[in-house]
Parts: sequence; structure tokens; C-alpha cells
Amino acid sequence: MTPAEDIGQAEICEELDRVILHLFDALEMLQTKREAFNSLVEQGWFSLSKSRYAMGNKSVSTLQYGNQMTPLIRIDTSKREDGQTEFQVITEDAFKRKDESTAVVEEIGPSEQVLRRRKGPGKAEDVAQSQNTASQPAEVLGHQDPLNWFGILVPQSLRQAQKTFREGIHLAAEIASIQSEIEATRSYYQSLLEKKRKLVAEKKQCSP
Amino acid sequence: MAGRGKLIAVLGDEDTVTGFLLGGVGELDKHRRPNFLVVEKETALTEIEEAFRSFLCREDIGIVLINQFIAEMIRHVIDAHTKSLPAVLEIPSKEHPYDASKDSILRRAKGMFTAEDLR
Repeated sequence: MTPAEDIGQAEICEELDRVILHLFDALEMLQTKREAFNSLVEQGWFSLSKSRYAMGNKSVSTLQYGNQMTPLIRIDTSKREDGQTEFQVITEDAFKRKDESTAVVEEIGPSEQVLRRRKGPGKAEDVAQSQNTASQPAEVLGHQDPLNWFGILVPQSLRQAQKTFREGIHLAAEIASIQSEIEATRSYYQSLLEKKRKLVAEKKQCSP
Repeated sequence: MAGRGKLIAVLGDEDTVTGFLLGGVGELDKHRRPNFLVVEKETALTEIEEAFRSFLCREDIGIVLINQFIAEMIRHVIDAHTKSLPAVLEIPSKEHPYDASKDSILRRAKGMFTAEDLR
């Protein structure tokens, strides 16, 4: 969207029409995403209810929340020139892959290192040390799958609920971006409208 | 970790909060301050409002998910929030389906058009 500084009334009207069309497109997109999001959330609740049925009424409640929580999903925000904010989901899996991409090389080694262990106790200690360092990153990060709050062998429906809510979070980020787009378009439209009003008022004053 | 992205805060009924925490949005920081609030029947309105305001003030929160029926209780606070960050998303709850006509963003968009403007 270009700032309407030195443009005439006709151009402002055209720009207003263009902005309105853009807004309607955004609203339509928002509605579509909203519907998908709402149905995902509903599906998630249904899966949670099924888990409750399988595990017992009190087994899926606030009481089971972990006493330590580290987010596995975060949101990356970036502001564009037109004032619009974009939201993107960053999942912890991606972090782990990034963090362990260097450690993977070390992890490939153990088959050779196991053979070395037979040769002497000194080398076996080295192996143990290297294994410890390889397993450190995951422990240091302290990430625990929230599924484990509800037990080790959880029903499939709870896994399904987790999957559904994760998809919902991705959609929520998209919806937040569209909402931001709508807000930015709205303020641009209002600034254009103000400009048009001023032009019309000036014209009225000039013409007797 | 804080530099890598922002959090998603959730303010809702038990199932909504449990679902999103299961999805992996929950955080308890070093002061054991949560980024969620489970609203129950006995939860006071002031507590809800305070929690929502604290989420709006936190710089590490990017999106606030709030059940629409709770949003209705603190509508004045939501309407007063015009900043782009954190984004506030009104979501349905088990007992209250989503109603677009109540959504702050859509009501603002609707308010753009008056008979005077469209002349």
C-alpha cells in the first residue's frame, strides 16, 4: 500500500475501493481459517473426552499438569513496513534438530566405540564420557512431552488430542496474522477516508 | 530460550487450557509464573482481568487465546487493547460456540462502514 500524499480525489476513491476489496478478501480468509480452527478445537475436546472415558474422569484435569513446564511451541513475530505483524510457529522439534545436528555425528560413532571398549578400561571411560556429553543437550533443555503428565502409556485418543491441538496452534498463528492484516488495512482505510474528506471540504470551500 | 520466540498464553476453561498445554504451549518461568489461567465457576472476575492484563503487559507473549465467553466478561479490557502485540484471539468453548458478531476485531471492522462514508 502506497501512502496517498499527492493524489487527487478520484485516485483516493480508487485506492479506497482497492483497500475495501483487499479487506473483504482478508475477512473471507479469516472466516475460512476460523471455521477450520473451531472444528479442530472441537475435535480436540472430543478426543480429550474419549481419553477421560478410557482413563477415568479425574485422570485428565488440571491436577495432572507438570510442576515444570517448558514450551515446545513458540511464536516468531515480525513486523512489516505497513505495520502488519506476522506470526509464525516455531516448534521445539525443529530446535532439537538444530541443536543436535552437530551431536548426530557423535552419535553415529557408538558401534565402533563399543568395540574399542574391549581393549582397555581407560578407553571405556572415554566412551562413557562422550556418551554423557551426547545425551546432555536434551537433559539441559529439560523438555518434557506434556503427554507424560498423564501417564506413560496414554490412550491413542490423548495422542490424537495433542496432534489436533498442535494443528490448532498453527492455525491460531495464521489467524493472528490475518487479524493483524485486517487491523492494518482498517487504519490505512481510515487515513485515506480522512484525506478524501479533507479534499471534499477544500473543494466545497473553493467553489461558491 | 527467550530470544527464540514468544509464548502463547491461554485463558479458558479446563478443557481448552488442558488441550493447548498438551499441544505444548505451557510455560512456568523461573518465578513459577504461568502463561495460562484455568477459569472455573468460582474464579473471580478480578482474577481473570488481572491475569489478562498481566498477559498483555508481558513482552514474552505473542498471542493470547481466550474463550469468547470469558472475553465477554472483560470486553472493556479487550476493546481497549489496540496494539498489534500480543494478538488476542477469541476462541470457542465447549458450552459456548464462537459468535463472530461478538469478536472485537470483526466488530471494529464492521464499524468502519457507516452510511455517511459510503455515500
